[in-house]
This record gives sequence, structure tokens and C-alpha cells, in this order.
Amino acid sequence: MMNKKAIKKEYYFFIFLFIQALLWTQLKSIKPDMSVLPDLPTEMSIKAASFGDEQFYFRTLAFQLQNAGDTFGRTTPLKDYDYNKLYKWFLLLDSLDSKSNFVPSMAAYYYSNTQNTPDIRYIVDYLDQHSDKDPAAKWWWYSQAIYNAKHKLDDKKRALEIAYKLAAAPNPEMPIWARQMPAFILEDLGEKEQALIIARDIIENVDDISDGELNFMHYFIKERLEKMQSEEPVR
Amino acid sequence: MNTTIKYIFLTAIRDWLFIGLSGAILLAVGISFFLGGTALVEQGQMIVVYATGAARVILVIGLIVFVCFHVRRSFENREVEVILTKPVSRSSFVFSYWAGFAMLAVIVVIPLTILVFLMMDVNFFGMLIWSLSLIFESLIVVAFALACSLMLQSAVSSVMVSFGFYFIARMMGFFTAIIDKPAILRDVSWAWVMENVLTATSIVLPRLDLFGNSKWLVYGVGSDANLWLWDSLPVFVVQSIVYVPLLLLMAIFDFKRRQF
Repeated sequence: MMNKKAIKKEYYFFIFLFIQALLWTQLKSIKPDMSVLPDLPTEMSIKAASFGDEQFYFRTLAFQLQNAGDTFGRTTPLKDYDYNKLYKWFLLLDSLDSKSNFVPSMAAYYYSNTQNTPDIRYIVDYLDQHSDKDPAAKWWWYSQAIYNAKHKLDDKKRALEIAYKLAAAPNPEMPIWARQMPAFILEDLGEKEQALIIARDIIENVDDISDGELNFMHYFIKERLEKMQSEEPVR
Repeated sequence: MNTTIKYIFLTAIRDWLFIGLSGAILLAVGISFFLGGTALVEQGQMIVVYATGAARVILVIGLIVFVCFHVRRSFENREVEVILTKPVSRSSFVFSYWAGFAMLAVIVVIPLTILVFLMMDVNFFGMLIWSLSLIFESLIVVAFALACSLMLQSAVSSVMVSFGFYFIARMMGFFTAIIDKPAILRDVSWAWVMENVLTATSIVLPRLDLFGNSKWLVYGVGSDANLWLWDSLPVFVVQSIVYVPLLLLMAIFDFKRRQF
């Protein structure tokens, strides 16, 4: 038979069980952070948290950003992302490693597919800024910025700005279409004379042009000249 | 000295140090392959960085725990007293213990390097430098853990202090950046105190943030201006040549005054 002390101890157990249940009513509303994008740390704090191996921390954060919004069994449409915050994340990750193509790939091939078209300007700005750090090695991301500005954002003037940078990238291995890019966009803008000048300039100044490219450029120049002549007012 | 080194090697086998470290590192490599494989692009680089970063931390934690508990157990079992009854000076006792532990680190790093080279796409020269710096990093960590466990009475405190030392030393680059940019501390009350504390800390602690950088494995060492001192010597070699004797002398100084 239980004595009185043992019964008292059992009471204490039930009292604490009851208190725990009461505490649950208060704690159940505290949920893990389910925001789509994690809050942006400062540049100094990520330097501290990297413990001297910035590459390791860069890969960890980049991976986190790749999966942001699609964790805990949920999927988030791209239109619900805060692109201004995303843009700042991209730049922050570039401060850890601007050589890697991980972040620009993520921006150009994944995040640029947002349903909210005005957000694409953040992608264009980021790709432009990323390429500015090393135009010779990063010219491809200029071309992606141009594609997004021209075809998705429909901002041809912005595309032209970047196209000039792409054409001037000091990389002899760069394909000829990259040098021709301003001509194509000027053509779209109706600036046929300017497009013609650029095409002629490439023929005169670039040495290593294949026969096929040369034929195309001669055709391009000839066609523009004919159009310009036909459009000229009759005096 | 050879006997002590052999003894430490045997105890490492007895305590399953090599099996434990190898198992943990292989597990980390496996997880790295899984995580890296899910990356959008640059899967190879992702795998290399995750695997080597995790391996470095596992190696350091394993060595610290092993050294601290091994030394404390040697004191408790009176093995240290038995060794000291032989014609062994206290200085050579400390040095041979460190050499034994250092050898354990080398034994783990060499197969790890071969594994990284065979299984991952890495920059070859960068990998050699990374492996060498990991060995030197282990030498410093082992010397600190040994000094702590000779000076402190508890293995747990030695482990904790060694972990603290390691993580603060890996943050030294950040601390020196703060000292150089006092504007960061502008909003902190008593900023001058903080600045002086950081300066004092950075004088006495090594720059472990200049060791074992996984960037070298991905991009090579060509672009890393911080790697070389006087344009010819790897900074981690110079740092280790200075800091390991400092720690061993500190341990010898304390150990010589100990009464048994």
C-alpha cells in the first residue's frame, strides 16, 4: 500500500504534466521561420561566420538560396519572391566568390522565369554587375542579361547598354555574335545606320572571322544599305 | 622518443581513432556527394568544398578530443609518472608526445588527400597546398590541445578551451578586419576597449583562417595573394614554425613546475 509521501509525489508529477500542457498552449503559436527568403546578413557577419573558409560558406549559402522557398515540403511560385531581397543576396554571395558561375546561373536560368515580369530588372542588373567584375571571363552573363532585358523585360535601351559592354569585352575567344550584339539591338530600335556602322567596324577590325560569318555580315550590310536607300526621301 | 610515439600510435589504434575518423570522414564525403549532386550547376565544386570542409572540421575535433582525453587518462593511470621515472627529461616527454600526436594527424591527412584526388575533380597544386596546410593546422591544434591537457586538470575543460581556441583562431581574419575598420565598432559602447581586446587577441593567437582554404581546391592558389609571405613562403608554414614551438615551450614551462 502506498504511503502518503508516495501519493504526494504522484500529485507533483500530474501538476507538472498539467503545467506542461498549459505551456504548450502558449508555445504552439511559435513556428519555425517559414519566410521564402532568409534574412540578409551583413557582409561582415558572413565573413565572421565563414571561420576563414569563405568558399565553404559561399557554397552553403548559395545552396540555401537555390532551395529557398521550397523547403518544409512547400513550393513557392517565383512571383511570390521578394526580388529586391534576392538581388541583394546575389550581390552578397558575389562578395564571397565572384569567380563562381553558380549564382549567375541560378539568376539567369531559374529566377529569371518569374511570372512577375518587372522583377526581371533585378536579374538584369545583377547579371550586368556580376559581369562587370571580369568582362573577359564573364561575357556570357552579359549575353544572358541582354536576352532577359530584350525579350522578357522588353527594355531594348537597357539591352543596348549591356550589348556595348559585351562587344567591348577583352576576350579574343569570344564568338563573333557577341561583338555583333549592339548591331542587332540597334536594328530592333530602328537605328539601321548605327547597326550598319557596327557591322562594318567588326569586318574592318576583327581578324579571325569565318567565311560563313563574313558572308552573313556582308549580307547584313548589303540589306541595310538597300533598305536605307529605299527609305530615303525622293528629292 | 620512438617508444613514446609507438605507444601513442598503439593507443590510437586501441581507441579506434583511425576507424572513427575515417568512418566520419567517409560519411561526410557521402553526404557531400548527395548534397552536391542536387546543386543546379557546379556539382563537382560543391562536392569538393563540402567534403573537404567537413573533413577538416572532423579531423580537428577528433584530434582535440583524442589528445585531451589521452593525456588526462595517462595522468590518472599514473602512466606519466611511470614514463618520468625513466631517464626522460620533461622537455623531451612533451616533445615526444606532440610528435606522436602530430604523426597521427599526418596518417589521417595522407589517405584523405589520396581520396580527394581520386574521387573529385580538384586543382592538383591547390590540393597539395591544401593538404600541407591541413597537416600544419593539425600540428598547431595538437600542440594547443596537448598544452591545455597538461595544464588543466579536467579533460572536458581542455577540450572546451581547445575548441574555443580553434574557432577564435579561424575567425582571426575577421577580427583583424574589424581592427582595421574602427567604423564598424562606432555604435558599440566602449569601442576602444573592444578594439584593444581584439588587438591583444590577434597578437597572441595564430591566423588559422589562412590555413585549409577550400578555394585552393576549386580555383588553385594562383589568385590567392594571402597565401604567400615575402612572395615565396606559404604563410601557414611560417605561422606553424613560430606558433608550435611557442605552445610547446609554454607546455614545458608549466610541466617542469608540476609536482607529482
